[in-house]
Amino acid sequence: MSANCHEFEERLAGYVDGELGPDDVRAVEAHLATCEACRATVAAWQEADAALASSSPARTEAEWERLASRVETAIDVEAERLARAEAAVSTGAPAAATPPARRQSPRRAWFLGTGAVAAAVLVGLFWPWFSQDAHRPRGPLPASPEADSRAPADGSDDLLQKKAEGTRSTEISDAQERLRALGYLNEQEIPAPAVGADRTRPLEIPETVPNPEPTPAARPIDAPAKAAERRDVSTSTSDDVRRWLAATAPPVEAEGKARSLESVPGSVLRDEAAPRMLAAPPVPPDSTISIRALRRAHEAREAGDLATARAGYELLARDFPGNAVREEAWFSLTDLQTAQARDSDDLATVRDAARSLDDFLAAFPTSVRREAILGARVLVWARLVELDPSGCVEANRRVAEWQHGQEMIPRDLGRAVQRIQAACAR
Amino acid sequence: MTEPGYSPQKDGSGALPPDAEPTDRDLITRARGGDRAAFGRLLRRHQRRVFALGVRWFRNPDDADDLVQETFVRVWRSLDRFDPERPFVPWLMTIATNRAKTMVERTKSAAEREELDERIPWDGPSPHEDAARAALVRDVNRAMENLPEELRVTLHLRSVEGLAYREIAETLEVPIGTVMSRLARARRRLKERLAEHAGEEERT
Repeated sequence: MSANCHEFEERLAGYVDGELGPDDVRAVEAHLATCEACRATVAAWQEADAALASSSPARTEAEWERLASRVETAIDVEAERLARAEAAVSTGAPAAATPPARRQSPRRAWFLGTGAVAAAVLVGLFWPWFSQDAHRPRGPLPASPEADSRAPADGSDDLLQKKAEGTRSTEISDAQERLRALGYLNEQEIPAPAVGADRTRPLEIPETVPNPEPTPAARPIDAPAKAAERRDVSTSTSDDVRRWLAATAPPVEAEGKARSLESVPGSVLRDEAAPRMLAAPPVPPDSTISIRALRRAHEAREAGDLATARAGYELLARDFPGNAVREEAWFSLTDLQTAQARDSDDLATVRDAARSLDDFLAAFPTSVRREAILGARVLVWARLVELDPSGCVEANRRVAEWQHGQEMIPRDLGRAVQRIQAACAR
Repeated sequence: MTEPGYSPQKDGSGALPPDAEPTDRDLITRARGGDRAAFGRLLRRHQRRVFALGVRWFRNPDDADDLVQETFVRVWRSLDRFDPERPFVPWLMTIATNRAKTMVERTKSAAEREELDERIPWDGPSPHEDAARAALVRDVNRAMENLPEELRVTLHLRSVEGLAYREIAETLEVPIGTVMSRLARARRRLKERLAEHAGEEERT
């Protein structure tokens, strides 16, 4: 290869890719006519390109179908979440005030039109679902329309806009989005004197610090190996879920609605009474039942029946095969546990929540919920070290993990970090 | 590609009507109107590309599965922002690329990221290929795995997805000059690797 050839290298690539203008094509072809080395290069590249173009991931049709079903289940979960946000908007009140009958099924979201969905996403960020348990004993939240009007029109969901904004701010708004979804950010943005006063009042430290030696309590949830959790399909688990569904009393209207929607041809929901469909591979039979169970658990939570909600979440989070549902259920469980633990005086409750959050991260290391969970951990550990200062090292490690890559510290979490510092300074 | 649940209607002549294989644009239009089955078809038609990109990116099938899920959930949520006058695949690749970058960011601190030694599932297009060609496909894909991330993803978008330089530049958010130099570097190194491979096989 002559020195001349080196100059041609990029243009050779452009030539192979058909990206050159006519002048360059002529120049390259003139060079190729005289240079055997470059002809060989072009031939090698073309051969490699052809080999790459003809490569395809090796999978069976059944595996592809399983993946497609998994994605559809994830979209069901997403649709459910959006529909719930939409329900909150349509009543102009927090979701907690929305009767179960107004719950939208996933199917409903498809009919909403995606414009409404986009709006619902935005408002959904402010849906104070997470904080409702924390707030309930202190009375209702301020009216949400106020919060809605404060929703930044940043379109943080909008990919194109994200690109325009640049990656850095995108990451921050992503993190904000997740914190909002958990209810962290709306607490500082919704003017709530009663709640705010509560939050700023110095925390009472219990006189006795219970159990300075952390004991490994029984894990509420096992975090199995990543690969195993994705592939295990246990029919007994879906039977458990069916039994749980049968044992919990559904809100009558909601159930009626779901049933009628299931009769829509091509519905997202497949009736569990249609065993042929359930049994037919390769569609995983459990997605429908698990979606219904997840919705039932959400409804129970909104109705204030935390024990039922928790039982449902735990059942779905434990080893249910549908990854998206499992992740959502587990997330909902940690969400509920965090709400209960952040102000709790019961060390076991706080420990359970902390462990559950850790386990979630271990089980779903790439979850979109990751930042939210990292933030929730800081809140829970702030309470934990106040009850048990021996956990300071661990708490600070979790603060560090959460702060990794975070430029903006929401006020609530900033306060939690201060609480950890204060508790650990003693 | 077979699509379970889909059976093309046939007219009297036995030929498929012109709308038997709806375009991406048709499917997107229908999906926007709430047609779940249309989105399901779009998903089944294109999930392999996203998976393939994910395998190039993460070099393991589990993360590639996650990428497919995250990408299509995002596509579904963003349907009304898609300009149907533009081709779907570059848009899909842009979303997938953004998701993949986010996943890489998210997992940088994750301890599980250590082992990447899972089987990388690449096949030639059909079992009828001759052995030499199958070996080439295998070698090229193995050589790809040893390239740095930005090189293998750039070359994948060019060689497998057939994206134009401009589209790759938009997708990866880099200047066109960077795309070109990456492709040149990727190909140079691929060629060296393949030459090493060929040398090894001759010696054995």
